[in-house]
Amino acid sequence: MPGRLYGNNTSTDLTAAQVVANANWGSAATVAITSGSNDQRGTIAVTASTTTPGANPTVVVTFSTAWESTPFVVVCKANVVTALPFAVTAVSTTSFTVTFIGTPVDTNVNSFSYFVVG
Amino acid sequence: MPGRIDCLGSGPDLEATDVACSAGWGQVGHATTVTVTAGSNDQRGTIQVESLGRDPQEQLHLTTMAAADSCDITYNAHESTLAITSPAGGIGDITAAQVKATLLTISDFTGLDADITVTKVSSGVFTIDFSGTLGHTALASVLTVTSVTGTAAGHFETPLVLGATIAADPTVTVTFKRPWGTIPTVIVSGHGTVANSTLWAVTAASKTAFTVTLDLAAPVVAAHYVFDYFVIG
Repeated sequence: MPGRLYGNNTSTDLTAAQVVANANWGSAATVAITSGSNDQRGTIAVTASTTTPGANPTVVVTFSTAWESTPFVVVCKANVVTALPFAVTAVSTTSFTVTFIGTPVDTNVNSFSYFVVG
Repeated sequence: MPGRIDCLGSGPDLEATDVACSAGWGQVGHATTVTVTAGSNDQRGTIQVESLGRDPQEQLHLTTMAAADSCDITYNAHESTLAITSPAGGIGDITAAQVKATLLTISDFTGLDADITVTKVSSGVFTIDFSGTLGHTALASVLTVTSVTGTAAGHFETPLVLGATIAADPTVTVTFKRPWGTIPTVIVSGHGTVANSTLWAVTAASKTAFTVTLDLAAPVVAAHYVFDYFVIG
């Protein structure tokens, strides 16, 4: 019986510096990276700031190691604080961008999981 | 060229018993219908859940009633104040309107004229459908025939649907056939309709199971909600 797919140890884990939430999350937004998240898969949560979140905020994830060709990325929500979805809006060999479709509510935690296939 | 990722046979197939639905799907008195697409396994697959939320329905059987015999109906320990009285023609002449009028004198049903429908099925047999205020909810108890006078006799019997309540954000928990060595990442997406595509979220994952939540305040009654999932350890 074939083994199941594992994505752990396929790269180093993401660090905070590799996950950047833009200003539309609010000026004091915070990012939490689930332990073990890496270039292959993981979960990221952004807590919207109490100070003026804007529309369609983004999260840019920079890979630890560049892919040989532009990979494919899928995302889905990882909590249900809002019915608003996430979408992958840009992908390159070095990073991908996820956009929250809508305007986040102050202090809400909005999480998504991602999976990357080269 | 390397081969493509093929998850065929990457573990035994999931079975419906590996999928547990929260009460929010409307399980009162019924099992929520879960359909696991053939070939679904620990790695990927498709699962369909049918929301229930059926309107309550009970059926009254009056089995023996001579002219002028009567009986009350009791619901939730509250007895009707207007008895069903058999007219001169006997049990066969009892109308749906008589039964409904009696039901509406039960305190729980006061003012719910529009939400209770009584249909005469045959002589002495009446189907009672609850909707509106009483729709998509679980009735607190079963109607009973009480305070019989004369030869009156009756009971409520199948079809008996006590209804079911659909709650916001119902969940589906999938138990893996084999535990993962690490907490996996799970990705889901809606399947089948555009409206469903953004409604699912993975709200918990462990080495042994993951939980998917339908992010919807009011799931549609008797609808099929489908998601695809992909798991990577």
